[in-house]
Amino acid sequence: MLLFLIIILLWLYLLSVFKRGQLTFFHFLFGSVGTFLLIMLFTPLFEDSVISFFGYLLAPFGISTQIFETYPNLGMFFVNTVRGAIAFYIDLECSGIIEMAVFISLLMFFPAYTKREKLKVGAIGLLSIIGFNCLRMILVLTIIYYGGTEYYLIAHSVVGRLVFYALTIILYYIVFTKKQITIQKVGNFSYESSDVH
Amino acid sequence: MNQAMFTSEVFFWLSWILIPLLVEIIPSIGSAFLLMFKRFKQNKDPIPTLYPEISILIPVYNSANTLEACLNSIDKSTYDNELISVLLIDNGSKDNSYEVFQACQLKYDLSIQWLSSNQGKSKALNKGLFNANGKYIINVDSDGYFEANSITNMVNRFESDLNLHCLTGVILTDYKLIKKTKSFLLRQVRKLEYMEYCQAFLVGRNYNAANNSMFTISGAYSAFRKSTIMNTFLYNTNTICEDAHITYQIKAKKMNVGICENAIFYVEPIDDLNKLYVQRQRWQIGELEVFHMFKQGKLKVKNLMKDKIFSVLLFDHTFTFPRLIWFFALIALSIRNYPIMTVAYASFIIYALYVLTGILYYFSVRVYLNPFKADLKFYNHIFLYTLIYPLYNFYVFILRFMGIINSINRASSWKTFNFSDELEIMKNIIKNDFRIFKKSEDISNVNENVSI
Repeated sequence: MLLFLIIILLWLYLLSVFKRGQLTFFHFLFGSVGTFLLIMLFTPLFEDSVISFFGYLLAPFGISTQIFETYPNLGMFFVNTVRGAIAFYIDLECSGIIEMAVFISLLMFFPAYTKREKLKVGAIGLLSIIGFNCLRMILVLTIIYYGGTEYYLIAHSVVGRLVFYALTIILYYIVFTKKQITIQKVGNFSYESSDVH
Repeated sequence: MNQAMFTSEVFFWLSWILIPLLVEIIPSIGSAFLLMFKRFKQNKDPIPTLYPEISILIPVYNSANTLEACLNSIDKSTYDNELISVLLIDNGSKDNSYEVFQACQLKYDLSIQWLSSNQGKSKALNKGLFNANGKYIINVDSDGYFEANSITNMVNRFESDLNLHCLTGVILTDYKLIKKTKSFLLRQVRKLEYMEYCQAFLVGRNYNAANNSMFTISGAYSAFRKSTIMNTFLYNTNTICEDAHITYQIKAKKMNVGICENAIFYVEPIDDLNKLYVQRQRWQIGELEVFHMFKQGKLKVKNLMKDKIFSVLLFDHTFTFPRLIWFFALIALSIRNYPIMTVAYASFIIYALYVLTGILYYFSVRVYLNPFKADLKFYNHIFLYTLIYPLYNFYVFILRFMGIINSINRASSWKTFNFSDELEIMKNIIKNDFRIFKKSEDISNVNENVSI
């Protein structure tokens, strides 16, 4: 515990050094990677709640289409295939927690936004990732419903992942790339000690 | 291994290998084969009945040490000296470049003119363009030299394809200088840098040219039809990436930009790691500046894939963010519920796939280097560097990422520091912080003394 506190203090101190030295990249790198690892370390505290949350969120769709049933408290889905019901558990990877942690960590230290903008963009971004994840789960469960368990691997690790990744990349493009290109400054470039011409 | 464990590992590997496989590795393998096929299909450019007059523009800035080698290579080139007019455009040199020019004028049977210009490479090039009379205009940096057939090959290519308006040459670092490098570490970096240049031009730009998606010609060696370049707004003087800016201008006019893969220009290898550190950031910042200048209506998601050049942004900017975190995500997963050996295997497989791609690129480069025996010999000698090339590539990726982040919100007096400068800044801040502690300790000692 003491070691953990020392590491956190050292990390915060380094962040302050980078900030004061206007070493923007190092501030971004250490800040976002540190935040990401911290969130990952604390996920066991809220992982179950997030998994239940997805269960509740998807329940109406499952009930109305009768493709699956959800058991939010157990973090479980039952897919009613023609050969009977199959149970699936939502694990850390499926919960989207990793992707949300990555997004928030990068955004928190991305210098193109003000603090206020970060709050707004962060909220919209998180909601989008939750939406993408719901879509991924519905897609995977629907493929299994119609195709059977033999489609599990391809539905989960290929189709679901690719759709989720494509949507996330669009989000990243809008949040990071489009924003930066829009505000990019041109000219006034010089070198402090280098003589590259 | 039981069924459940096996399935769980397959899931893990598929999940983490699939994206790099689809986004990077499979397209790379495809492009490597495509380029090899292109080379085998390619015919030799026909020799024109009459060679035209050409102008070679060389911006000069404190180039006394390198200028003669550059002019000497023009004199020794297979292109007829009588058809070459060289314009040296000085943009504020403080060394004896002018004396070197005078000596060369006497020594070589070449038409060489000296022009003075305002500070900045773009301004120098623009002045040169207005004074150039050749049918083709070749721009090169003063710190490199031509391969003997380079200029002839460039003109042959233009003469054989009337639809080509602008060509980039191939830049390679000088292998003789690499061999002579005394420092062991620097020699290794320079060999990797040589491999990088080979891949960047003979694979990267070569593929882009075939695909009509070249983002930039090389500022160190490019050539234009005079009629084409005079039809643009010339070189932009605001950006540090004037070469990419002019490329985009030409492409916006629906004119073809290609590569002459048998026109080589040799430049000096990187001086040290600090130079690499600043140079790669500068390239990245330049790229972003040019995207900003041409962004009008191009940044909408639905328009993005319509413009082949703007879609480069996805690879050079958007993908870099998740790519950076991926590396740390693997560590985080090993802390959590995934066995460390599985994570290590997955990382190893990704690395091995990058090496495999590198080897394929290596062989496509070899096909294009075949006519250049000395370069080919050196390239054969560095084959085993393909095993560590992904590490160098990752380092360059980090440097370019630094360029992305460091260019945001920069002040008008913004400067790019090298790593030693940045380390110095950090040290000073930390030293200062501890001095404050020391001072406050001293003050409390003084107070104690007073109270005593």
